[in-house]
Amino acid sequence: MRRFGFALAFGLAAASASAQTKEPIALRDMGSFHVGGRVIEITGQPIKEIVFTPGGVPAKMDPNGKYQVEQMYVQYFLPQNRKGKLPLLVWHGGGLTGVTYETKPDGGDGWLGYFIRKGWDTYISDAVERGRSGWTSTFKGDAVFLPLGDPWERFRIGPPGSWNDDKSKRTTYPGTQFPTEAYEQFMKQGVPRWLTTDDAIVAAYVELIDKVCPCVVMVHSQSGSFGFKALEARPDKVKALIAVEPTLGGDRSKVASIKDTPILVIYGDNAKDHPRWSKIRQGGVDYAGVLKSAGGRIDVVDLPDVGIRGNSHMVMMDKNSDQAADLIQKWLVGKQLSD
Amino acid sequence: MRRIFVATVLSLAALTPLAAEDDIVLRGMGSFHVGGRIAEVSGKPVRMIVRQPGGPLTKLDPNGQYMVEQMYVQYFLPRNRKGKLPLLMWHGGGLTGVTYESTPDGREGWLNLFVRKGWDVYVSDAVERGRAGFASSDVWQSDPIFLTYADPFERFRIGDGEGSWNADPAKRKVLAGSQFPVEAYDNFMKQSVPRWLITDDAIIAAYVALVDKVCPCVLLLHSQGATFGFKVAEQRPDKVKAIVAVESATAGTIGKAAALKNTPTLMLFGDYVDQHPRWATFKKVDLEYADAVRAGGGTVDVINLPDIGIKGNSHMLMQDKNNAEIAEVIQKWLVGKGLVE
Repeated sequence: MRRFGFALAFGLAAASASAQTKEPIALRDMGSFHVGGRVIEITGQPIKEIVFTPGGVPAKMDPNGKYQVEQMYVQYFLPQNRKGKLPLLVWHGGGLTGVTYETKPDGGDGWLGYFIRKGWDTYISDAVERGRSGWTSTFKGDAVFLPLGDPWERFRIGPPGSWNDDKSKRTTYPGTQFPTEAYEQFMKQGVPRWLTTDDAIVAAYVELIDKVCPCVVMVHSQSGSFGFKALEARPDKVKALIAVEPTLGGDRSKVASIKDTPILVIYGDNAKDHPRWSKIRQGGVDYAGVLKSAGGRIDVVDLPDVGIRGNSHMVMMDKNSDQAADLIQKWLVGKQLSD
Repeated sequence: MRRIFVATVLSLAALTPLAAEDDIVLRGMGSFHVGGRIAEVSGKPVRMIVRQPGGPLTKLDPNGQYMVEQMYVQYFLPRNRKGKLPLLMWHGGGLTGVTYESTPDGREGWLNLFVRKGWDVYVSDAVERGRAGFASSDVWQSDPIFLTYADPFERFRIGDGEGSWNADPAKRKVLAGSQFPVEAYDNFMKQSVPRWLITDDAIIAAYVALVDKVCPCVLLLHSQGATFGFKVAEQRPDKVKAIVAVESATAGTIGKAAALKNTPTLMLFGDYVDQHPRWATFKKVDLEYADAVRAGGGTVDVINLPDIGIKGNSHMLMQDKNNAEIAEVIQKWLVGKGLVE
């Protein structure tokens, strides 16, 4: 008991010490908005009477009428000491929300905090259908829910066959930087996704760009594809694109139109050998080749090649997330996008 | 030389930024999920799916364990803390924590206003809403409901009763003197999310987990969230040190009201309540609960905003044009209860 108490006190002291070493965050402003979406109409459905709260007063619920659909939620933080020359838009991957970039599952400071502290006006969004964007019954097909074990292998925390429902029997890639002790906490961040909503998602992202850009866009995983599509739609407004483990690149027939926008693509560790990621990565490398031959400016970095090892697909949640963020920040400074 | 000197002074000033008076200065901000459980699904067929056009086929086995019924919480901790306890803001039905962020017409909401007043503010999305995520129909065997454009317009006392909404904004009948930013009604509707009608117990369980994590605290509750708040307070009366219930859509359990005897409570109501049949009933239920708390030795203050000269408030008080004035009423009450330095 005494030993437990000591460990607890030590842990608390360590946590508060690390919190205190950080400077306060001074913001000129913070807030949120929804952007995009459209109004649709449903007709011919019966009227229902619904009690919203047990013991509450029944209310009539007429499902017919106009509905707001396909809007997107955006939250922004504008640091007082702005150094980034343009707003930084951060877009999450599939089955997730903007929470991806907030506090890490193990409680460490994530990339949202990192880039605000570097002086970037940061806009963090939940794609259409995810999180605070809301969703409607009007999407085609069924929502997909991720089983607890699914991302473990697909996000390269462990190699194929490494997941086990029994925690003590799970294995990881050697030297993984993912905070495996907080894996359940990570899975609390998961939200359902549809497989038929890409066009609506891209439409809302383009509306966001029209509202707040010129800007820098940072994308992850599924939103890699959305980032390239948004760039192809608004090459004059997306002044740089950072694609962290994108699952897809852009349209090879449109490379000439985006050749003036510098692009950074990052892959973590074990991507070259993982059965699924090796294909995804090779597709990204091939796309970069096509873009370069059209005069495009694209840098592809495999983190292990620059000495940053052990990264899973969730680079921004890994224990060394600041190291990868430093690499991105340095690249942005090199492109004269930050003071 | 003089010019260089001036330039040096200027650049030094730029290097040591002093926070402007209206800046929000935080000693910390972040988010977490709390609560939840692992549910097991079995006996469903395995599918191969393409996760995005052109991407590789991947296996999707719906059987197995799922993380469900967790809740999302985002917090902002002002450097100049004045509130003695954390202030937890819980939203109403069909909505998320966005309720308390920027108003639909782009003004500052109660999140910013109370952070500026020096409160450590925790804004959450209830189980199933927003960033909390939701479970599949294998786990929650029920359909959610979705709100039409007309529904809150009439039910939240923006429009003047049934039939007041019209697709043509020029033909909508707004209550006389309404403070709701009706020109931004479309933006308000973008904030809405589906809700289930069978998840109350899961929602309350996650709120209790939050209270156990960050309290003692003050709860600021709205509508359906107030019903949850009272029930949570009945379970954790030692941790909930005060309650501000904004238009509670029914309160707690009468038989357990005495648990709140040491938890001072403020019930706040907007305008047009007594003339709206549904809201008049809610208010009656709330006031009966208030009486039960008082009978158990507790204190409940009730403020009908029109009685103190604040008129025109809809159900979405925190988004109304006079939201800062109402925040002041709440702040004054909290100061009166000794909860502010």
